[in-house]
Amino acid sequence: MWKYLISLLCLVQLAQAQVTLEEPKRQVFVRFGVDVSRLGLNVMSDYNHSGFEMSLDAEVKYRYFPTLEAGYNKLSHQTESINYQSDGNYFRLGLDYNILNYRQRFDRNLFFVGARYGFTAFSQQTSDVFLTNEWGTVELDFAPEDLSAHWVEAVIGLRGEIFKNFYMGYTIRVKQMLTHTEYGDIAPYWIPGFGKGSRVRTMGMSYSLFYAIPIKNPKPDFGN
Amino acid sequence: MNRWILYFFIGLGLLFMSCNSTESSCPGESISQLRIGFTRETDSTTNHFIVYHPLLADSIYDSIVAPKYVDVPMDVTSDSMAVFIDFIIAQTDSTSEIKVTDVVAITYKSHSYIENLDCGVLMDFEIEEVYYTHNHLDTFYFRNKDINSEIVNHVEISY
Repeated sequence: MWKYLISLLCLVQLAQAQVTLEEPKRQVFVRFGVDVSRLGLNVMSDYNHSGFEMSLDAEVKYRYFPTLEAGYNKLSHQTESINYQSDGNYFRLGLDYNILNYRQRFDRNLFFVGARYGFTAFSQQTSDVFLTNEWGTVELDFAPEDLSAHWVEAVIGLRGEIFKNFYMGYTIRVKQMLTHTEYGDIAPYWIPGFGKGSRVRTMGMSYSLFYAIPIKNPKPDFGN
Repeated sequence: MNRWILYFFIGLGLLFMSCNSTESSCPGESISQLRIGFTRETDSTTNHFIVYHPLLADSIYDSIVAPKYVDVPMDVTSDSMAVFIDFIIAQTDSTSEIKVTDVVAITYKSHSYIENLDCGVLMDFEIEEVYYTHNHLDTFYFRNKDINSEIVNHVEISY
């Protein structure tokens, strides 16, 4: 009888031990990304449009991913009636919140919502402008301008692991202009990082490839 | 992982749509025009109607048909402009006509902007002051100071 009781107690203890398995430690990593859609800007745009954008993010707290994005953008267009160029650097600072469940977070996949603050310092040149009507032709040359703008973004997006430590994903952005330096004689057509200068709200999309650099605690193996 | 493939294709679709979204089309006139609305009174004896400026080679409007409105090109080389309106009026004996001229003059400032690079620079105006003579026209109303792509009467004249 005692033999059976002791065996039963051992089984109960074993079961409890299985339930209280130590929770794997959160993995520490930094994810570096390159927006590959920027590489095709010139193909997708009717104008001479080029640029690049990089990003860094890391999980500092469960589900929370501070993100830094920085880039350069240049748009130029020359016709018989206008010679236009806008170029400058921009950065965005923000936070993503991963809404995927507990287990998937160790895959470091993200289905996230977030917010960004964006800033750009850029220059614009508009020259060789010819306007013609019944009164004649007038030529306008606008002085080059150094401008800046601030905006906020609401973002939603995905990061999916395609190979070990390699990810791809996209971010859809709705941008709202906050402030900008006072425009001179002509408002900018293109604001790097934001989009069309004539609008206070724009949409954008990034399509990026990422590499996650593991720093501490390797990814736990959950099996298939 | 199937879910990620689904998301991937949804994303590609969105990207495709965003790439194929067309730019807004160019407005008819890159330089906005002043629109003068006309109302013919029932007892009006005007037979012929001419809107012009002496410096322009062609009349802006020249017809026996009374117009509802006339679009006047803005002088981009200046910050003021005058429009001359000749009313050819039948005399009471109906055998002869006389010409009565009124002048509408405006001062304005221009505003250049780019909506679409393919359209080049567009120019809008803001009317600052309006002057007019009162030889034949009955009433004159200044309706809208912003001359832009919005199609509205900026001034209205009845005769």
